[in-house]
Order: sequence, then C-alpha cells, then structure tokens
Amino acid sequence: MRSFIGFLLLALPLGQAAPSPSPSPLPDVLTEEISRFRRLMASASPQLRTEGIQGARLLRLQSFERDILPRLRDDVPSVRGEAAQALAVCGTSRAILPLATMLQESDWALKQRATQALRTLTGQTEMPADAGSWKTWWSETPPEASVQKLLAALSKNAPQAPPGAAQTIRALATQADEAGILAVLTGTKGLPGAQRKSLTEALDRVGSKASLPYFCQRASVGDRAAAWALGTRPGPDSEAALLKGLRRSHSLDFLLNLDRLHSTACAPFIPRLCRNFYSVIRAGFGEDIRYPPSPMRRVSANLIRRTGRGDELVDMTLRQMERELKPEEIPAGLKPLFADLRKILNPEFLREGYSGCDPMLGALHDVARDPAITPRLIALLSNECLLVRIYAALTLGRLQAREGVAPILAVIRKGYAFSDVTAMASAKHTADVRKVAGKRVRQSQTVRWLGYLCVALGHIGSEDARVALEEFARASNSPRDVRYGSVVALGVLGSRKSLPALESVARNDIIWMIRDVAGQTVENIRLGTP
Amino acid sequence: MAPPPTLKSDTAKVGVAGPNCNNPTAPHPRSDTTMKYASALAACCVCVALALDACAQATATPPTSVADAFRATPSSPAALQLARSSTTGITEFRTLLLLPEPAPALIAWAIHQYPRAELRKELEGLLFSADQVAAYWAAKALGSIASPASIPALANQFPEGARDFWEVSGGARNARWREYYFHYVRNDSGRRVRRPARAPVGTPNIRVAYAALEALGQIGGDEARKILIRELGRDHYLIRQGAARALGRMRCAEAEEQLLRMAADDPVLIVRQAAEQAARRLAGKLKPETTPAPNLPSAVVFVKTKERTESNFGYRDSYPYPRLPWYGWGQDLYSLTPPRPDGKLRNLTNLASGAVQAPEVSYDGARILFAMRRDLGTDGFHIYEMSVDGTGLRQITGGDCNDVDPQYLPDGRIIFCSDRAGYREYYHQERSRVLYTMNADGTDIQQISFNPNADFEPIVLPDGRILYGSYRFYGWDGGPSAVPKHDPRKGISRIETVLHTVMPDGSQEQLFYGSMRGGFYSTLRPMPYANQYQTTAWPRTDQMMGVSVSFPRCLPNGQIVCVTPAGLTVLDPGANPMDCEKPIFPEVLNLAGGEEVYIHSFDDQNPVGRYTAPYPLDNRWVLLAHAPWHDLRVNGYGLYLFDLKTRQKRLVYDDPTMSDVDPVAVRPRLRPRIIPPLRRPSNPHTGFVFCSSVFNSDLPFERSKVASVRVLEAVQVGMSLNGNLGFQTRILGTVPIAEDGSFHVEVPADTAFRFALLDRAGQVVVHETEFQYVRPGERKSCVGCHERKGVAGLNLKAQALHQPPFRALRKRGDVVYGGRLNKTYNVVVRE
Repeated sequence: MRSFIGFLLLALPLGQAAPSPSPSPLPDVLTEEISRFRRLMASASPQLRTEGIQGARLLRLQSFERDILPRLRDDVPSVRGEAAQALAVCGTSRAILPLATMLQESDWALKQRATQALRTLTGQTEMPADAGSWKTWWSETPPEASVQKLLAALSKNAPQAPPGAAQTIRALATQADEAGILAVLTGTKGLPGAQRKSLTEALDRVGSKASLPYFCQRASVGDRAAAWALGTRPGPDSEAALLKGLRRSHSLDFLLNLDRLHSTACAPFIPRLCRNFYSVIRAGFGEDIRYPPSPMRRVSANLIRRTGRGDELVDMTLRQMERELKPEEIPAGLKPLFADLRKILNPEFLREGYSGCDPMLGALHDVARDPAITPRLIALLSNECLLVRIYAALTLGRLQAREGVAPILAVIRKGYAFSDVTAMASAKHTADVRKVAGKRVRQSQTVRWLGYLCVALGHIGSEDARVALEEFARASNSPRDVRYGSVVALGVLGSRKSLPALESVARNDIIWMIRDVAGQTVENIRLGTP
Repeated sequence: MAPPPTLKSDTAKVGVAGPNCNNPTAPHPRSDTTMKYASALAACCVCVALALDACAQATATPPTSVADAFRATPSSPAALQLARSSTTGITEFRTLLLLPEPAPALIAWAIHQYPRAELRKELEGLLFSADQVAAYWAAKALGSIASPASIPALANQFPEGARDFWEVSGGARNARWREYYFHYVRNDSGRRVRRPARAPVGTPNIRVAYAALEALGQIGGDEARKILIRELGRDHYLIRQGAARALGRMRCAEAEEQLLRMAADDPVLIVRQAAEQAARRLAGKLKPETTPAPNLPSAVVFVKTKERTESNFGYRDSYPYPRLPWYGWGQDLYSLTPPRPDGKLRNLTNLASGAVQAPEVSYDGARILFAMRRDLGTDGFHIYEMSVDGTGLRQITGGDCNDVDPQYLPDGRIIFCSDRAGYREYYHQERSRVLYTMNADGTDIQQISFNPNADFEPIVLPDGRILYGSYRFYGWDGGPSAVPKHDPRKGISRIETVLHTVMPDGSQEQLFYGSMRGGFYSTLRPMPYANQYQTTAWPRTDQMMGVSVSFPRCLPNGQIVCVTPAGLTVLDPGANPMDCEKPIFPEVLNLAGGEEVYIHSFDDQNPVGRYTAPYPLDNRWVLLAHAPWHDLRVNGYGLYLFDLKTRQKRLVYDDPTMSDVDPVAVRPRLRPRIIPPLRRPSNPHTGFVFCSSVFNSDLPFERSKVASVRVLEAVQVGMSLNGNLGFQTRILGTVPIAEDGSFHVEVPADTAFRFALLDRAGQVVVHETEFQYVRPGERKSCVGCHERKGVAGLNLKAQALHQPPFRALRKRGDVVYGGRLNKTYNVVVRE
C-alpha cells in the first residue's frame, strides 16, 4: 500500500491536480476566528470580551462594527476603552455619534481613546475632546461630501492630500463612492502605499462586481489589501489571482484568503507551506509550545489537506523516520525537505546552524489527522533520535491518541541520564555535536526534551495523564522542563481538578518562569479558556 | 601543599631586564625590569636571580642551537637569548624574521629590548606585514634603535590625505577574513552601508601606526617633530593621542599651543589627557613620575583554574557558545599570605572534583563568600561562606538552580546571581542569571532585577547602590508596521554588556555606562571621525551595537576599573558617559580584553597581553590576572600588582601549571552606605513610568510624527531547543503622548518592558531596544528618551501628569509575536 502511494506521488509531480481532494470540508481559519471573536465579545466575562474586541481590532474588519458598538456602553470601563480603540479601525459612519457620546465619560483615558478614534475615522485632528463639538460638526458635515472632497484631493495630488484622507474614506465611503475610489486607485500616479491600502480596503467594503478586476489585478502582483478583498469574493478569478499573488508574497494574507476560498490548488506550494510549521529547533522560530497552533500553522495545514495529499505526506514522513522510504519515492519538490529529515535521523543531531531541518516533522505534527498512524508513532517514541521522539509524542497529542499515554509516561518517568542542575551549571541545554580542540564532542546528552512529552500528554487529555502531570508539576525533584511542560499541559487539559496543584506550583516552584505560567494557567482555567 | 611558585619560561613575566630604559612609562616588558618591589624584595631577588641564571645558562649554549630550537618552536625565552647574544649574526636574524608567525613578532619584540641597529631595514620591512603583532613590535624596536634613518619608513604609516587605518577586530577565526576589511560605501539609494573589501594597498594598521608615533617620539629631530605635529590634526583619535604623547616626550615647544587647545577641546577624553600631560611637560610643570608603593593587604584569596580555555576572561559568562558555559570558575580557592611569590599558599577548599567561583571578602576582612560546586557530577553552584583561614564552611543557598557571584551588602544581607528565574538569554537561549538578595542565613530570597537576558557580577558602590554587568540583546523586530517585523532597513539589533546600577531593593535601575550610541559595532565608542576598516564576519547589516564590560570594581576615588573591548579600562562616572573611558592600553582597543567572541576572535594578534579581573588596592594599584602576549596558553595567567598609571606590573604569584585568577584582598574595608528599601505598595502588581518629553532625545526622528507610545513586554520562552530564538513580545498597550511629549503609564511590576514610538497610523517611528522594569509601586521617571545626560527637565508640570496614568497591563487577547519574524502566536494580525 505504502509503495503504491509512493508510486502515485512519483507519478504525479507536485503542482499537478490532486488525485482526490479531501472529502470532508475543513473550516477555514478566518471564519473560525471571526466566529470566535464574536462569541467572546458577547461573553459574560469582561476579560473575554476584551479578548474578543482586541481580536476584532487586529483583524481590522469593518464587519465587526455591529459587534463592537454595544461594547461602548459596557459596564466595565476598560472594555469601553478597548471598544473605542477597535472602532478606530473597524468603525464606519455609524460609529461617529456613539464615539462622540463617549466623550461625555468622566474617565480621562476613555475620552482620550474616543477622541483618537474619532480623529482617525474623520481626519479631524484639530477637533477638541468635546461631545457637543463633535456632534455639531457631524450634523453639519455630510459624509458623502467629505468623501468626494477627499477623493478629489487625492486624485489631484495624492502626496499633498490631507493626512489621513484615505483612512477617512475607508471609514465613511458608501457604495456611491465606488467609481470615485476606483478612479483614484487606477488613475492616480504615485499613490503612496498606505493610501492605496486604505482605499483598497474602502473599495472592499463598498465595491461591487465592477471592482473585481481591480482586486484580481492587484492581488496577482502581491497587493495584500486586494488579497483580503478577494477572500470575500469567491470564484475562479479570485482564486487564480490569489495563487498568482502567493508566488510573489508568501504572506499570511494570501494564505488566509486562499483558505477562506477553500482552495484545493495549493499543491505546488506544499514545500513552502511545510516550512511554516512548528519547529523546535529552527533558529528564529520563537514559537512556544504553550500556545495553541498559530494562524500560520493552521492555515498551512488546511491548504495542504485540501490538496488531498496530507495523509500521503504524513505517511512519507513516517516511513522516512522508520527508514523505509526510498529516495526515488520522493517527489522532486520535496527532496530537499526529506534530505533535511535524513540529517535529523542521525542520533547525534540536534540542530544545524541557523536552519531548521525539521519542516517535515512539523508537517507530521500539524497535518496528521488519521488515528491509524498511532501505533507507528508509539513505536517511534523509542527511536534513537531525539527529535523523532519529540515529534512522535507531539503528534500523538495532536491526534489525542489515548494509547499513547502509557508509553509517553514511561519515557518521562525514565528521566534523564544527567542531573538537571549539573547540566545547567556545566553545559548548554541545547547543544550540538562539534569539534572542540580537534575532538568530536557530543553535547546533546544534556538536552532537555521531556517537557515536550508532558505537553503531548496534556493534548491527549486522559485522567491518567492529568494525575501524572500534577505529580510531575509539583515534584521539586522533577527536571525544570518536565515541571514547566506539565504546567502547560495542565493548562491544555483545563481541568478544575488541577487547580490545587497549579496553585501550589504558582506559589512554591523555585523557578520564576514556572510560577508565572502556573499563575496564568490558574487564571485561564478559572475563566474556562485555554 | 601546592608546589612553590616557579618561573615560567617567559622571562618577561618575571621581569628580566633589557638594557633600553629610556621610556619608563612605555607599555613594554621592560617595565618589569624596573621592579622595586620593596615588600617582597628578597623573594623577587631570588626569582630574578633564578631566571637570570637560567637565561645565562641558556646563553652559554651555542647560538645556532638556540636558533634551531627557535625555528622548531618559536618562544619568548629563545628570542630573548638570541637578541641578547652578541654572537647571533645578522644573517641569522634575517632568516628568523622570515619564519612564519609568531617568529617575526617574537624576534622584533626581543630586538625592541636588545636593539640591533643592523636590523633596521628588516624591521622597517615588517611595518606593513599582515602580521600586525610583528609590525607593532617592529615599530617599537625601531624606536629603541632610534635611528633617524627610520623616519621615512615610519612616516609611511601616516600618508598625507589618507583617513583610514585597518584593524582586525573581530569576526570568524578564519584566515580568509584577515585579508578583508569592512569599510563604508554609499549604495545605490545613497545609504551608508558596510561592505567587505580588501584594504587599499598601503593602508596602515592602527596599532602599528600608534607604535610608530611612539618610535618617532623616541627618535626625535625636526622631521619626526613635523610629522607628529601634523598628526595632531588626524581624524583618528588614537593617532592624535599618540602624537600628543610623543611630542610631550620630545618636549616640542612648537606644539605647545596646539596641545593646550587639544587639552581643552578635543572630543575624546584620552586625547585631552595626553595633550594636557604633554603641555604640562613642556611647561615644566610635570613632576618626575614616582610610583608609590601599593597598599598591600595581609593576604589575597584567588582561584586556580585549568578549565577556562577562552582567550580572555574579560567576559566571564553569558557567551558560552560554542564552548561550554562558564561561571568563570576554577578548581579550588586559595589564599596567599603575604601576597608575594614566596607567600604561604593554602588551598581553602580542597575539592576533588568541584568548582569555585567569585570569591569576595567581608567588610571586616574575616570571612570569604563564594560560589561552589562540591561535586561536578551532582551539584550546581551554591553560595558558601567560610573564615579567611578556611574554617567554618557553611552552605547558604541550595536547590535546583545555580547561585553565583555573591557579594556582601552593607546591611548584612547578601546579593548574588541565580538562574532560578528561569530566564534564557535572547540569542542562544542559554540559561541566564539575574540579581537576587537574601538574608545572611539564606532566608528571604528576593529577585531584584528583571532584565530578560542576564545580569551578573554585582558589586556595592560606596553610596550603597549596586553596580552590575547587564547583558543586553534584542534582535530584529523593529519594522515600520503595526506589528514589528523583520525589516533590515528599520530593525536595530543590540548585543552588548553594559554597566547598570540599582538600589538593593531593585528599584531605580538605570544605565551607568554602556553604548546606547546608535548603530555602531565593536568599537568602544563611535570615536569622532574614526573611520577604521574593520573585519568582522558578522553582522553584515550595519545594525549592531556592541560594547562588553565586565569585572567592574570601584576604586577609592569612585572611578571604576573594569574590562572593556579596550581591555583594562578606568571609567570616570563623573564624566559624560559618552566620554568617560580611559583605556590603559588604548593601542589595543578591541583586542586586549573583553568579549572573546566577535570582538576578540583575534586575540592572538594582541601585542600587549591579557589583563583581567582587576581588584583595587588603592587609586593606582590593582591586583589582577595577566598573561603576556606571547604566552596565551590556557594556563598562562598569573597574579600581578599593576599600576594603572604607569602600566608597571609586579609578579605576585604564578603557578605555571594553572591559571591564577580572580584575586581579592584579605583586609577590612569601608562599609558602604545602607539604603533603606522601597516602601511596600498597596498594589504589589504594578508600577509607573513617567516621561517628561519623548522629544527630549538625542535620537534623530521626526518629532511631529509621534502620536503614541507602545508598551511591549518581553515574554520568556519556556521550552525550546532553538538557537537564535529571541524573546516573544507581548503588546501591552498603546498610550497617547501629550502635546508636550509627556506620557504617564502604569505597567506590570517586575516585568521587562520596552517602548516604541508610533505615528498616528500606528507605524513605528522609534524602535527602542532597551528593556526597563519597575518594582511594585515604584515610580520611574525620565527627562526624555536618550536625552543628554545631565540635562534637567523643564520646571513645568508635564501635561501627562494632569491626568491619571494610562494602563498598559496584561490583558487577554494581547498580541504575542516572535521577536524576529512577523509571527503572531495567538491571533491573526492584518497589517
């Protein structure tokens, strides 16, 4: 069977149509995020409402305006402040009067937030922080006239237009302004990038089908604002433009919006997408295991899975880890990644310079969905290579494979062959094999890696795992990484039963870092969120 | 009982005299020969006699065999024997000067001490050698020979019209790089960028040119005088300094006016000082130099080590990669009573397989505080105390952590460093340490510093503040976008160790000495007009700042002696921080001391030797560890007395089989002032920062653009096998800036944060890399951002103070992103 899949991959070079796109529809990341933020904004907890508003502000989607506006009247002042800040980027003309009303707040900081939002939305930077003045100005100033005036100024001499003109158009434009905006975007030479971005976003909000060719043309040359516009305009032209743009800009903007269109055509990008996954060794990948998968990882996994090749990729990676994959079975585009993977299979390997050699291991972890690979992963827990063990365990966690609990616990309980404190005193926790004074010295015996296995247990989530993790977290003779990983894992598990253990760690652990994360975990569990 | 101190083969180290003594303040080995070491005279006489005897015996052997031995293994004793022997022929020397490194340098060094005028031409031929140590000693030797015929060759070091000197100052230890030097060019867009290039033919080396100035001063005469006067106007500060010194030595009246002007106006401290000294000499006001006897203690304690293999001890920790990390430790703690070569040596710890680190003596001179691992196989470092006679050992700290660098506080408590914070430094994710205090019995351990990288080597200043080394690294994340991202045009990276001060309760943490001077790399300071060619394999983006300071100790006069990239350096905290450094060996800037990596990868081209771990005895004399330039072996360090003014050194103790380092005087000393702790606040979780105006800044940015300040928290990475990982950053909030440029913000206490100035659109205008923190309830205020030191704020109430502070505290949903790439972890950020 495996060789048959290999044959198929060999016969179908990357870039050709996928053999069979994944039948189950995968929800796209943006839709999930938008729903999450809306849920959070409606939550009973002010902390969660704040989280939802912050998420909306960072996405800068004006469709959030209706969710944010009620929060200007929130009982909690800090939530009102967050809402005002968010409206500065998510607001339209509907937000002007509520924000002006907010200027009657007695809290100076809230008034400042509201004033800043109003100034950003309207471009009226000289207006005072006075509700009456703003309301009067707004009643006397038809937004249509403002927009037309600003468009005229931009088309005449964009660099000399009033500061924030494009931002104001972004907030106040209506469908009637579509033609005017398009005219400025297509006819104005030397339009500064920031203004083009704001106008493109305005067009995204008010534009009709007539604007699609503009968005397609701009996205295909890497314009990220246009990519967002295409994400809400499904169709073959949109997908083709986004794919073209992706070649020029491998940015999250293009990936997210292809995901939003449920694109199945990203096979040519698989090698590049694999480099977006979690890496425990790649220089500059400051990713920490304590967070849920990042948007970049989630969207990359979605796009790979929609090509229909996700399981094959996982299988090939596993066979390489099992040393059963033949070089001729590897498609040309993936050969460099699998060559890197072969380096990892050296028991002495930990990392190599600045590059990460583990994209395929990251792909295994993030793309795998098939529980049938569990026995193979469990077998890999005893692999001689450190990184293989780490990723096998993490993937078991990803699959929530209960069968993995006992073998993972066995590995953690085996412990290290070195003393934790001694290793810290005399050797790097991360270490390479290198020559010192002409001698080949293997330093990886002092690498601390069991904490990753603890996190995997948290993701699997059995009661056995919880009890063991609490024990690890509390035991002062556990290595640091095991205590830390256990605290993180208990946070993933999110059981209120763990609160006494976590509170004890937050009070007593000798390491500040572990106490700090334990404290945050207690707070999260109490809020009922990961 | 350890074996008695014996003499190394390095005769310079024990002070074998050379005949040429016309320059008593010159930094060459002859300064040893003038040793008048009253308190240990007998012992020294024995040592010197032994050495002379050994040399005399060696001299008696046929010179050919010595030459053969030198050819086989070039060594300093052999070079001295050859130079001293009248039977060594010129032809022989010529062949020896053609040998590979380090032979030419050793021969030139020996000839400097035993001048051979017949070798003048050969020495002149070395002046442009790629082996800058040989060239340096050749120039010095030409000064000893003092032949006017050398002046044209020496003058070639100062081509008229040329501005540049080359300097090997860092980078990979790769021979290829020695041929290439970075210089600055304008790229297509007019930006000044650094490019590697071969230095133009005939470009002199800065160190060699400095030695040539000294030689010209020794040779004297009209021609030399003209050159030296001309060089007073040279762009490079080091050349001006050397020329001023040489002219003073020549007593050149013609230069007096110019020297007086320089003494008043030159932008560089050491130039002003050299010019002033020269002018005083010309005016006959300079008294003959006398060297007071050092104020010797009854004993010293020190560390013997075989393990430290780095090229210099100036950077005691935090940069272990790729070697094993060190806490600057050794095998055992010793005392030497009295501190002289025949003093009684005593092993105080007698560890079979352990380690000791950072000894310090109590204020009453009765006890020693130090860090120790009793067994390398099972223990980490913990703090211990014992009596100075080695009795009464007691362990003060314990647990799953490493505690090092202990010091007594004047109120009886102890300050130390520990990795129990769990921090990891930015770059290699190495475990790092920060400052803690505790009671004398080890109870009430409190973390008092929160630098997310590393803090180390605390000492207590006479006014009660803590002075400590602080490792600062922040990487590429200063993009002009809403979420900072990698942008080579806008990002600033810092890697440096600077000196900070803090109160014993952790409040009022502030910069004491360091760079903070913009985008330069590796020079101690961006010397005005100093346009050196520098070779370094890294970085290539012209965005690095780098100073490394370590081993700070306070002199009785309040000045700080420490090790910097300029080597042994005295800092004057009363002077402008931009201009307060007095390198003891300015000619070896970037080579003599400090960090081994990058800046000091070329330690083998250091012509004066290593000086480290200074411990002041008085305002002039320090105890220190020293290894001569021609003996940079692992165990090359011995203990010396060193005069900071004359550069004279006197051997105290040297075990040829081990390095002897970290000397501390055993004697009572003044107890510093006791500073009461900060009052406990009502809210233990936050503190406040007030800035009177962000416009009050030395940084170039468009003031009118600034609208708000973003507060960013450094989030530690909990678990990772990565290198070059960086911190995560959490955006705590954005705070409006008042029209007068002020802001007032409430921030999380005991948390590292930094600022970024933003424009109205949220784009970064100034990317700040310096981390700050406040203790619970602390109110930290500043006149501006990078304001000129000593500038007082306007006597006006800032607008931001008219209102309560903005809050920039942790909230759910705060963006957390990678320090180097545009990677958010928790949310999608649409730029």
